[in-house]
Amino acid sequence: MDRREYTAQVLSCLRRVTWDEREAIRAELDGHMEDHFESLRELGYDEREAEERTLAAMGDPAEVGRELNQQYTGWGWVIFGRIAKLATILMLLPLFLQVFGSTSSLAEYLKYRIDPDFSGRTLFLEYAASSTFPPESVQDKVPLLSGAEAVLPLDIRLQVGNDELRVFRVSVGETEDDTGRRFLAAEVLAVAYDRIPFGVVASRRLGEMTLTSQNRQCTAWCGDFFNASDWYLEIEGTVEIRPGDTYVTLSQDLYGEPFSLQIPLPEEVAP
Amino acid sequence: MSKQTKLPTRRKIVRNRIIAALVMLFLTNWVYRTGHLFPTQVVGDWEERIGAGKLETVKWKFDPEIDASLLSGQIFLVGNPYVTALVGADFDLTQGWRSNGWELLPTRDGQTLYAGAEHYHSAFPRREPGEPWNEILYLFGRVDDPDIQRLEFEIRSGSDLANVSYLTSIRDDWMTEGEYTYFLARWEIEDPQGRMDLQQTTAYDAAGNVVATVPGDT
Amino acid sequence: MARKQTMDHTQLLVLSLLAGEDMYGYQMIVELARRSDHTFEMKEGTLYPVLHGLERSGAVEAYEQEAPTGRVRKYYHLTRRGAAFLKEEARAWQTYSGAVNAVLRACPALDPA
Repeated sequence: MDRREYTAQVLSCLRRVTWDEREAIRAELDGHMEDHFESLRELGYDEREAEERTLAAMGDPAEVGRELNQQYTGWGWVIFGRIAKLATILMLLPLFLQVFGSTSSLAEYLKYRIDPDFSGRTLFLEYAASSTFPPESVQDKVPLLSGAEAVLPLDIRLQVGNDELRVFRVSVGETEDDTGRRFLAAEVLAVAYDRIPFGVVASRRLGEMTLTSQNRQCTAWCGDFFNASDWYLEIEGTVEIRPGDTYVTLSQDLYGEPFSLQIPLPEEVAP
Repeated sequence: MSKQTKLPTRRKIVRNRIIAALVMLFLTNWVYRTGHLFPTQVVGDWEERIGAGKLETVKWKFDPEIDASLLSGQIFLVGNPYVTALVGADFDLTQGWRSNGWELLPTRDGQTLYAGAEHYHSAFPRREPGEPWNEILYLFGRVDDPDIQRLEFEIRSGSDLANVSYLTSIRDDWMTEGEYTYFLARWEIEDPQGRMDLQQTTAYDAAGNVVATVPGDT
Repeated sequence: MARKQTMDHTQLLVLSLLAGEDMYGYQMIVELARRSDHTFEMKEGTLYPVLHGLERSGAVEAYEQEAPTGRVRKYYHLTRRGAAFLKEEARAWQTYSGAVNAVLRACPALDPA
């Protein structure tokens, strides 16, 4: 028997050990025998003698293996730990995909919390003001005629329940409905999200609101039509106004305590 | 002093792995609202989505006949002064408890009666692919008028909604939570050919007079 | 019974070695032989079950250190729990050996030389 065989014999007695544990024991035993071997060589013994004496000093490998095996109990826990490790990796996957994925709503969400801006997805007055609640379908909309005449960036924040509603832009311009009637309209853009990051936003309460013109004659649906995420709402609505109007009202009274918010219109609205 | 690398024991490794998994589960639960370990967490999510305050559970039913993942269908009747809702949940091995059907009834308009419905495929009898489903219909709502003793639901089903059925629910079966009275009724319909509507709910008082009618939209 | 005692007093010896400084397996064997003037020359392989058992029970903790020669060795370090255990075991041993000595002293067949 040589040193390698000794270690192999000891290891063969080990039943329930992980690969890492087995290799660690191998390294420790090999290292020990190497140390002993070297010191014997230094004393002048030749290789064969040194190896023989080393192995003799080590003792019965079966006995060593048996006693060592007794120290490694609790295999069930090891299995449990492996399952936990697998579960952790599996749960990391969606996070990874979110951060590096192409349609990352995580990135959009963080952006909306910090600096909401729909530019790049501008739908200003693309959809005619609709008085049906909600609009029948996206296809019913009529494309815009002209760009906004006036745009007013805002930062109006309202705490609604445990969410924050944040109106960030209002624009005014001319548009046309499905009958061909032209009129002046105001478009309001807002975001909403739970105050706690990654909390669920109240998509029922804030996803379907009403815009009312100053003279209360015209109302329009204002909300998040697509409701793509539990984290945030992209709220938009367009309501007909009269020249000279200074504000429109955004309100909700279907779920929970009703509220209404006055949204100022840009001053350069042409009569 | 050359580099020392600590060697953890088996126990420490397993403990750390379990802690890591629990932390990940918590994070996943928080960020993605998935991996729910309890069905009540699904109700909690709806509480947040509705945004009208805490929802009290009026009735919690386990319905193993609903065609849900692992036949784990749960039905929650919940409500608060602003809304009455039916929320369903089922259990998926990779996602935990998740939402399975819902119907919300805002209760702000000062009506005396609110009624809604939600339906599910029935897992029984066992069917082959292509064979029609039987449906389980849940009717729920709130009764604010103490005079109302009986409700009659008109349900239309069938490919042209021509089949009309009536289901009755009496006050003895209703539940009280706080200051409100709620009802929950369950009905099975054989092969409605995919279409089913709660057409109307009629409320009767003790003498049999019609007290209120509410149109329904399922 | 005899086996258990050997195991136990090996534990005691190992722990007392580590009370002085951190050591690796072979180093312990050498030190043990040296300090006991070669009275204790155990089967070297059986040291490791003892060490791993102590590691498992938290009496010692292990770390790897690279020697200047490039070899990586597994060192053992006495923990606070191990130090307390050592104290206990040492006291128990002293009581036990004291008792044995007392009995032997009282034995008329043994001449106090």
